[in-house]
Amino acid sequence: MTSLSFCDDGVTLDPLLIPTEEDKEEKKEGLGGIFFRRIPVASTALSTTPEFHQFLPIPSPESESLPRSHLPDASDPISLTADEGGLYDADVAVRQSDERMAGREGDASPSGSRKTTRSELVGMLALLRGMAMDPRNRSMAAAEEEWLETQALRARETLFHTLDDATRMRELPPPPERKLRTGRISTEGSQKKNGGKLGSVEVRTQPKRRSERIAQNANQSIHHLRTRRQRIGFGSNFQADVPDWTSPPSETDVSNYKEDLNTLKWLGTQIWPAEGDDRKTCDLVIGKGRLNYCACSFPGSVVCIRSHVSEARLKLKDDLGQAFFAWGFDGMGEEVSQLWTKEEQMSFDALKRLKNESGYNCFWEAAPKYFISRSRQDLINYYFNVYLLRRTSNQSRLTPEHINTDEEDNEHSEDAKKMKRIVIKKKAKLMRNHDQDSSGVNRVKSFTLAA
Amino acid sequence: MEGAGGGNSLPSTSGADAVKRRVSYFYDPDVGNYYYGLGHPMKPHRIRMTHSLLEKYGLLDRMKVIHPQLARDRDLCAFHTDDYVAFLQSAKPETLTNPCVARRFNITDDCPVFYRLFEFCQTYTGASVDAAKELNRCNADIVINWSGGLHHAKRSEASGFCYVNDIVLAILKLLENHDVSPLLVPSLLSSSFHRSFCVSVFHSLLLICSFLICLQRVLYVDIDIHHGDGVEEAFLTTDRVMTVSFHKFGEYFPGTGHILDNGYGKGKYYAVNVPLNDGIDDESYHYLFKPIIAKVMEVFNPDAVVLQCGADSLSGDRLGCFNLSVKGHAECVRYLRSFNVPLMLLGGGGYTLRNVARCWCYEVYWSLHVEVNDKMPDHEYLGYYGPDYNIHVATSNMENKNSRKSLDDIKAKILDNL
Repeated sequence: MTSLSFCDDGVTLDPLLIPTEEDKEEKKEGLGGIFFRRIPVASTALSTTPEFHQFLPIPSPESESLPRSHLPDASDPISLTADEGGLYDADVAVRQSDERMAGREGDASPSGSRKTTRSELVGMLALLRGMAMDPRNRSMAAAEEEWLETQALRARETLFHTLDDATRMRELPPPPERKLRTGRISTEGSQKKNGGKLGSVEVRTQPKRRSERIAQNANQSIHHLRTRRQRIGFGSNFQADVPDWTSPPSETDVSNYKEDLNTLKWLGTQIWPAEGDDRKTCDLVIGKGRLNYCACSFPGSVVCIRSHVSEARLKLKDDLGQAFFAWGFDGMGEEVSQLWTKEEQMSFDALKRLKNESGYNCFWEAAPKYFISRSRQDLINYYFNVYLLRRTSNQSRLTPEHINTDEEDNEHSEDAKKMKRIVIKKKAKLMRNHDQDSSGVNRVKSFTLAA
Repeated sequence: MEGAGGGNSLPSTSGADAVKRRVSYFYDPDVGNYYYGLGHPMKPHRIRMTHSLLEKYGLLDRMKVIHPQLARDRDLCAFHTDDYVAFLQSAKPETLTNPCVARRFNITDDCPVFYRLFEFCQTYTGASVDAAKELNRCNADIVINWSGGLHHAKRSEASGFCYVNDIVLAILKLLENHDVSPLLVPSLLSSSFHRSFCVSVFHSLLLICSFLICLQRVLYVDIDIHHGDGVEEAFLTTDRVMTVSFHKFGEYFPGTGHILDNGYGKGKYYAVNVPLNDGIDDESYHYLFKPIIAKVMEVFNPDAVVLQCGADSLSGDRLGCFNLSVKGHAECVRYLRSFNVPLMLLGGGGYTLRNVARCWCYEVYWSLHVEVNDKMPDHEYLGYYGPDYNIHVATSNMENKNSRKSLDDIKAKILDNL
């Protein structure tokens, strides 16, 4: 089950900021209770940034009721007027906060520093608001003022922690030259305007490229990227920019789009039906498979199969014309071996066998050194079209119940060794049956060498 | 069909099967030569094998076959981040030495940097995006790209053998607005001087009107055995794309896809996850697939459907553990085809080469709705299919761990959400 921790702008919440049960208990006792009652109302009027709300615990019904009984002026704790814009009686709050702070400091705090920090933040906020309302009010003690200053500076540093700082802190190299100011500004609307190509966060020098913003955000969660993520990501780093639906197009719009030269250019090249090809498709037989019988001496043998495949290939070349080469049929199947000499083919098989048996898993590192005149593409082409094909063909005759086109895993297992013993026995039987067809026997030999 | 924006007909399963569909098939002959590395289960060669089989069965004659354009890096940036695309562009096996960079983009044994990696991404993505354009232009009813369907790739990291999420890019192409206003301007501007006044008036008119082609809703169905997490994540919060995934759930890659995951925000209830257990067979699978898809089509009414036909849900797959036959797998294609909505078929997983080619070939048959012989014709790769040379894959006798009761529970929950 996916679990997402985020705040409204889609930024993942720091788990430390998510209230726990212990925090809620603490809230019930002290000053925090006032805030739980007042902040939801005050916050609509005050222009606090969303980040501050991260620090504020979620109000609970129990905590709302309790503080009322503690307050000396509890009958009407909030005096909100339109003129004040929803501000509460700061003096009362400050005095009460003094009492609560004094009271709290005497309390034992078994759960440790994290719980205290949370309450301190709440108290700090109250005091700051009080000071903002009336800067001349010096009713606070000097020690308290000093404490407030320290807390406030720490909070400011954390709130306005820039992604540049995050970048410097992390192990990845910082992004190149551009220092980009970050703000927690929603960029969704602007992204759409810009076609989703550029971020729209305010910058000093140039528009911020989405990649760098995301890269910097990713820096903060670099530890998660290492492990296998087992939940769906949420946020601008993960979701695609889906354009909004507009009205459906008219007929002229559709026909104009179809004739658009720009789009035509990027549609790909039609290979089939070929230009000028007007043969009727109903004349062709679709879906016909191979016959169950043939006139070969040994139906189903390697030689039989090879001859039928060659015949089909010639017919295909005739039917397709240029498309035969455009589709790469000239590079398919055992015919590819025609481009390799007998010695090269035997060397390939021998090298493969050597690298497998020695347990040295670097056939593909060694192969280019042995076949200097062959490109990597040639080697891969030969591997799939000739080597693997012959090997599978062999397996299907010798061990039909254990065909494996991914031989890399099985070379050293016990099953593989058992399979080899079976192969040897069956090979002998196969050779007795095919001794009349000398070319067939030679082919079988080459297959068993390859296996 | 004309007017892609308006083709929302509900299914009439009886007559709809027989109606011919125009099929466009996208294939790059070079795709078979990409190689993930020794021992890696993902082998693009299977696409070449499928192509060969299709040709010999004569099916390519019934389709438009298109050599796709390579996707440009700015096409990839429609979803992926610039730095990730730049990394893919520059990555080479011999130059990848910084473990931090590898970790950042999730380059692991599953997703190695192999020779010509970026070209491979461009190839399969270009084909998917071109296929989307073909649907946008109403040139085809069904488009096919077996090299695509790499559904695990994320916005800025590789995952599960996938590097670029071609499915997301194709769906974005299906959903995007196409502004074609400047197209007539060059021809008009070339007219003679004494008509320049008329030209400038017309030009301004063109600029005022913007010509838009748009599909409102796209349905994505994923029958790969692995959860389509990359696509679900990309469209988690939108109601224009509904993602439906049938997959194995429970100690299985990628670990997401719980039945209760159904999207978020505007996209809530626009993600459907059907978790299944080992050994599910054709009958059990369709016991869920058909009613769920029917309800989805009724409720969501998409303008286009994208089906990821991962063949690792077949019986005998190297990495899979389901027990579907080729017929059962293709039945999903047949069923979706019957709704007569523009359909895109993409590849995906599938790690037993010969079974993948069989399955995808048979699914093309169903796209065209032609009869085919069970015995496959002589072709270049016939040797892979011995000893029976049959197009169908026999299922095994593995235990179906999905009880009827659990299937009923799943069905009830999903239909309830819908």
